[in-house]
Amino acid sequence: MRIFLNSIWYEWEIQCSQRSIWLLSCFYLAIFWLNFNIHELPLHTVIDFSTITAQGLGLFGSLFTAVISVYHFRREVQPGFAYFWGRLLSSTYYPWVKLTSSILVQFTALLPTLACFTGLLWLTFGAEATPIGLSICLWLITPTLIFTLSISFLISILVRKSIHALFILIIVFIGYFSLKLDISQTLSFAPYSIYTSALIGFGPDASFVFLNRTLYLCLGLFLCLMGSFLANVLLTVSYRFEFWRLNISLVVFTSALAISSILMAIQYQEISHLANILPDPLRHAQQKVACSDIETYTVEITLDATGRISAGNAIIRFSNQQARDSVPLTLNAGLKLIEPQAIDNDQLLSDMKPGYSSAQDMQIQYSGRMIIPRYSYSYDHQEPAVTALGFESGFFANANFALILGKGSWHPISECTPNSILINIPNSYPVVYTSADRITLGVDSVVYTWEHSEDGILLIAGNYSQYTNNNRMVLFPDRFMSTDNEAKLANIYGLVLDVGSSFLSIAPYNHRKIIIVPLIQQSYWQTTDQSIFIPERLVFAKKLLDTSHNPSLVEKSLNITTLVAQDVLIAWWCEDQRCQDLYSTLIVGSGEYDIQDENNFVAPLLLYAALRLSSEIDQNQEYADVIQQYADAGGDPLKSVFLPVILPDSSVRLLPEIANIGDKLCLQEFLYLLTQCKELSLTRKLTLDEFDRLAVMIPVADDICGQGSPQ
Amino acid sequence: MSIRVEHLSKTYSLEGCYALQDISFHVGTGITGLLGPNGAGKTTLIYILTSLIRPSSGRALVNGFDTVTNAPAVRKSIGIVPQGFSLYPNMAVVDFLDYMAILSRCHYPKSKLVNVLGQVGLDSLAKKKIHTLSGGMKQRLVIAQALIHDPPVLLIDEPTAGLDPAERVRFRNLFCEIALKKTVLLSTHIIEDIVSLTDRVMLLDHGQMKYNGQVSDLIKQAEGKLWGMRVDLEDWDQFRERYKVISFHQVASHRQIEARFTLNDHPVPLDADIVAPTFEDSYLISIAT
Repeated sequence: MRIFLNSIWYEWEIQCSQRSIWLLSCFYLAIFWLNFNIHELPLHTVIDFSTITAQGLGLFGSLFTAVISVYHFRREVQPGFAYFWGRLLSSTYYPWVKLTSSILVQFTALLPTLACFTGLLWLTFGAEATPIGLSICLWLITPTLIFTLSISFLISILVRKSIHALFILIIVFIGYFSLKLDISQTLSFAPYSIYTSALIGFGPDASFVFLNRTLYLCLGLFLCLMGSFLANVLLTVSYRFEFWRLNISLVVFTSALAISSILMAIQYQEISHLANILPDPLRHAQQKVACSDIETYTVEITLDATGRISAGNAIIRFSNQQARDSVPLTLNAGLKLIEPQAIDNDQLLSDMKPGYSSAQDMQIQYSGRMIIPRYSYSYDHQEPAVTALGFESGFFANANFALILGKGSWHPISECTPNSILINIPNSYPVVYTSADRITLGVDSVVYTWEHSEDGILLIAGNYSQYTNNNRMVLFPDRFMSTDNEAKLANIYGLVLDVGSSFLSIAPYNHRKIIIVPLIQQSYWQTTDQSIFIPERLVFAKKLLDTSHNPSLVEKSLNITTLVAQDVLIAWWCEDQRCQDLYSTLIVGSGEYDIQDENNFVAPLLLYAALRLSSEIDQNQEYADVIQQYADAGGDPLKSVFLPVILPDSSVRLLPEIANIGDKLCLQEFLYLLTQCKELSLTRKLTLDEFDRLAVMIPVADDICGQGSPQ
Repeated sequence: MSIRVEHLSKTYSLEGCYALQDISFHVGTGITGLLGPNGAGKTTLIYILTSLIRPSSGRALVNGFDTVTNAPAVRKSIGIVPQGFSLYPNMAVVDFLDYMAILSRCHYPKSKLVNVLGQVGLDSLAKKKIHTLSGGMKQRLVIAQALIHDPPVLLIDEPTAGLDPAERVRFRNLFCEIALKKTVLLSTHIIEDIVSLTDRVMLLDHGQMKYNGQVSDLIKQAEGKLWGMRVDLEDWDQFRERYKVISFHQVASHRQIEARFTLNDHPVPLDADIVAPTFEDSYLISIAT
């Protein structure tokens, strides 16, 4: 071992003395600094920052690494190194020495970059977050580098001339990238389109990330072993017998790696298939209709400490047998029916054979780990009907976090709200919110019971930090943002709610909770206890970043407050309903969506209201400039990129007209008008003409319009 | 402490030609010269003895170990000084030597490494980077790496090519010293090196062993076969066509050429005299036949 370590030391020294390694080090550093804007850093989460860094270094750095490694690996096979290969250990240890030291050299080249990364983590997120961020970054990038080095090594062994090896390497990489397009994510160097959250890390993508990285690690090590065997066979022919005899254990290890890689790839593909499967909106629509035929719907589940549903039992009583037989079931693909109802979950869910106890009753028992489909939390563009389903799973749980909504595919008829729910959860979960009617403490677990229909959020458990402001609690995930930004954000939420309480008929409520929640895509206003749930979305941070890109908007300081006001206004407008298409218009800014006509008006109306609210809070009247910028952009997404949201073309045209009417009213009058609009929208379609008519009907109330109002 | 080769052949199947053809010899302690023109198969023979390539037939034993079936033992027993070499320019001299020792499964203290450097006159440069050394110093460093694990057999391939005369003499002295206790196979095409270093020589040409024995015996074999005479410049071309010219030089004042030649089955020219062959003449006569 000492000899092995000493050899590694010298080989490391030899490689580090090459200029190309220092060039690589500078290249890594350049990628790191070009990959993000330092001013944006406080707006990132630890996991987000670590992932962005690893992806940049992994993708671009590995290409450069592959090229220079070919030259390093080929050096000793050039003529003139016969004295080297004539030594006792050069045929057995040396390929390993070379590979191990090459990996170490890569990390040496990465050291300045990792030092900068660690320093920034420390300064921005504190000492506690530093090892977490560093380990995430290293876990993501290590398999990539090992895989890259192993491919370079293998090609260097097989191809005698460096220039040919380089040429083949380029072909391999081109082929690789082509494959990547066809076999989605299976061959990706680093995970992409992933969900990163301060609370749940990679969230539902965690298993993909883990499998992807482990697969590449196994594959990389397997290729390294293959390269080492080939090196012995091709470079020292007469040593072959000795080598195989000495390294039988390595052969076994190599075979194990190969088998592991194949099994992992199969598992990855299976999970990937289930996660990327698209929903059947028709089935959901049929369920909504069938809900009226359900008399009672009782669901009981027990979670284990890892977030798996160890036991689930749903008992449904239908009003008639026909309804029972025709209702489509939408149980999550990760949940399997317990015998005798077990079926293959790859089959269509309609093939499920639930147990029947009577003509009207259905009982379904199930267990398993939920596989959260990507569409239910993705920010990628997708069909409006899919977007409208929102967080369709309604459930996510791992060892540290649990989020359960009333509606969701964690029970068999996901679109119908059970009227009795019982959730048995281990007491290791730090529950920060629940709307349960009854809580029963057990020895190892807590039983939460709902005896009413609740389709909002049932329960949230996770590591949160708390800010209290005027009896109002804001719960941020630990390590969500820098402390300053969290405090600033909490304050803005408080200010927006103060204004809302005053003018939007929002009842002042002591101990109201504002909770940042991962996975959900839209704000929820829980009317039963006046809690507000704000999505922990990266889009939010992104919008803040956009602010920093546009100094003129920073000066007007409209953006953050506007976005917070929007969150609150959407929650208030939708209350317990799911305004998923409105959400997609205002938050995602997906102007290309074929959204409902009404939202073409509601979206700009709420944006205008948010601008007016934030203008009041920030004490400036420059929101008119923002509206003018919308008019100038004219619905062009490229021109709208620095604006608070990207609106559809038709909405952009309405915004100045809404502003024309709204500007004639003071804020209080306008917010009164907004409450009128909300009430009207419950009964009929809201249009500009209706809005104008309501505005005219607003009684002039000089006594309530304070100074500074437009009127 | 010997090298034994029995009916050794090596063919390159792609090129379909023999690199070595039925070679057999045995060498013991001391220096044995392996002489032959470029492409004679000297380097192939050394690579087989090093266990870097496998012979097509026959076998080679180094220090009693078969190069195919017991390659590790062979590698422990040999030190190799290759023809043309690459080093690690940014490495310190002593570190390079330590690394080579480690690859031979030896772990020595620095003092031992410096001692070995002392044998080749590089001890004062132990901490210098290799790229600062002259060509001769690098050559000596390559010899040091061959000696570092104290092998009983040393395989040296073209060691003095490209060195200046003073450096060449220094090398010869060094090899003589080394050969007192070791078996040294010195492959070269420089005749002076052989004459100065050893009286035991093997001649290799086109993969075949042309001679294996004492230098003096090789010279004896050539006695009576070598003739000398002065040839007029205008007759030179015709003369060369008839006789096998071994060496010649121009005698400028007389517009004549003084030639040393063999008869090549032609009658003795009128003015020719038998001359005493040198080792170089003997070597050239051997590979010419």
